[in-house]
Amino acid sequence: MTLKDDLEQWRKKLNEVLEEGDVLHERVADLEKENVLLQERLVNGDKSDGFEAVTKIYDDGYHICPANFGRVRDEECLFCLNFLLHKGKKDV
Amino acid sequence: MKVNIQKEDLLYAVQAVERAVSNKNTLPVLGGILITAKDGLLSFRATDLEMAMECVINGDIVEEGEVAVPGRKFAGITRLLPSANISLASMGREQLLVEYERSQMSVPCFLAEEFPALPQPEGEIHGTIPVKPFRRLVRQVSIAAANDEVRPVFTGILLEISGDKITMVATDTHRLAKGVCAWHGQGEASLIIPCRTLQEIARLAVNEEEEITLTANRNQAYFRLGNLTFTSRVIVGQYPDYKQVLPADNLFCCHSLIHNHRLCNALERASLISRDVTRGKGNIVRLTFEGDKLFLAAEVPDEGTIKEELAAEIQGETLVANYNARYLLEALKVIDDETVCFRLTGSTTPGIIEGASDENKDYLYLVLPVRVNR
Repeated sequence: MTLKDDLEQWRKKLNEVLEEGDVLHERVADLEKENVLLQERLVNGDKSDGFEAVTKIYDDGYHICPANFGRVRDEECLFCLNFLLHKGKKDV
Repeated sequence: MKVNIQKEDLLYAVQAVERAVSNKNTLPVLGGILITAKDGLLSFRATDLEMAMECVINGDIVEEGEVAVPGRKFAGITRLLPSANISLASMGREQLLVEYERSQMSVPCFLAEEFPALPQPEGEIHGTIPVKPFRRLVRQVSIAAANDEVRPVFTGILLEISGDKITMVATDTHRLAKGVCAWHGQGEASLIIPCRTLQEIARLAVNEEEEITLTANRNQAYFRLGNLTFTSRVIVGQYPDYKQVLPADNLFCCHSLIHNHRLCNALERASLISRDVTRGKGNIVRLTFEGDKLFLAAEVPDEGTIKEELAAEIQGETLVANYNARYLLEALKVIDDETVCFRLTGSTTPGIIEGASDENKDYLYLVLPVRVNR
């Protein structure tokens, strides 16, 4: 293997590491955003009752289901909605 | 090691295991395919530590031994070799000599002893699954699995083994697919197997009369199909209770039978208008189930509008619901039946898409409408 091949391999590896770093940066930024929001909620408290509070969290674009609680939600979630539907009915 | 083998046999074995060759550079030897010549058999093995694949074929073994060839490069070479007898001979510990017709080439190799050993199949779960329904179900269920590695359990397919049935479930939390097929064996378990492993098995299971043998424990699952063996890690984690999101029978308020192919075509046309307009919010089509018609519409400023009318057999309430067209299309394409059935519970609550044939009677696809203008 020539020095040129070696360098090419290292260049590829470095690019992969840099790409992975970018993905991790984005993920950390998302998590920090979520964290700030959830902390604000905890500190300020929520005037509404528990069910309304979780409904609001869901409507604000966050999961409320156990598998993904607090994660950003870009679409409707079967498990969150199931919780809201059933809890809502019980409360009625 | 020195062996003689026909190009077609070599290509078959290399292509069978090539997909398990690792793309990552963390452990270079995982980029290799281990070829072992022993007891009259040639074994080809590759692993990325999540999945391992082994293919055993007959070969003319002149001298026993093993060699770890660079996987992608060797697969490329094999594809381009002439259709003739091929001789493979190791030269020292890190070179392979490939001879064909009156030509030869040498390939640098990894140290064979660095290649990880595969665990022996063992586990309390043991039984067989017929290939035909297995392939169909993997194709139908895998569409709902997630690609997002942040949530590993959703990248897998849940296998629930109980009695004489095996239930497969996948969900990315926006939709859920579930199917059931026959299981002849012992043990009860819930295993989350990476979707990719099951797709690879389905890809290579071409003989529909065969059966797949599954042996599994809490950590690993072993699938055997003829001369092929797949070893897969079991994804660790709690799969959500999917049964709780399946609507009870009394909740369905609208049943509709629609021609599958015509609906697919209409959705594909609508997708041209509505696709990827806003990231995560695009590709929305509005379906109106009314009388004996299904009305399909999409409207996006600057992109265009589409309104279509399809014949349908509808029982129950008139219902209007918005869906991600891609989610509907993916389900309709794997159901294959001429007619599909939509069973809906409301305009913002889950609905089920099913095939109308007997073959698909144990398959369902649960999908949520999209809430718009909230």
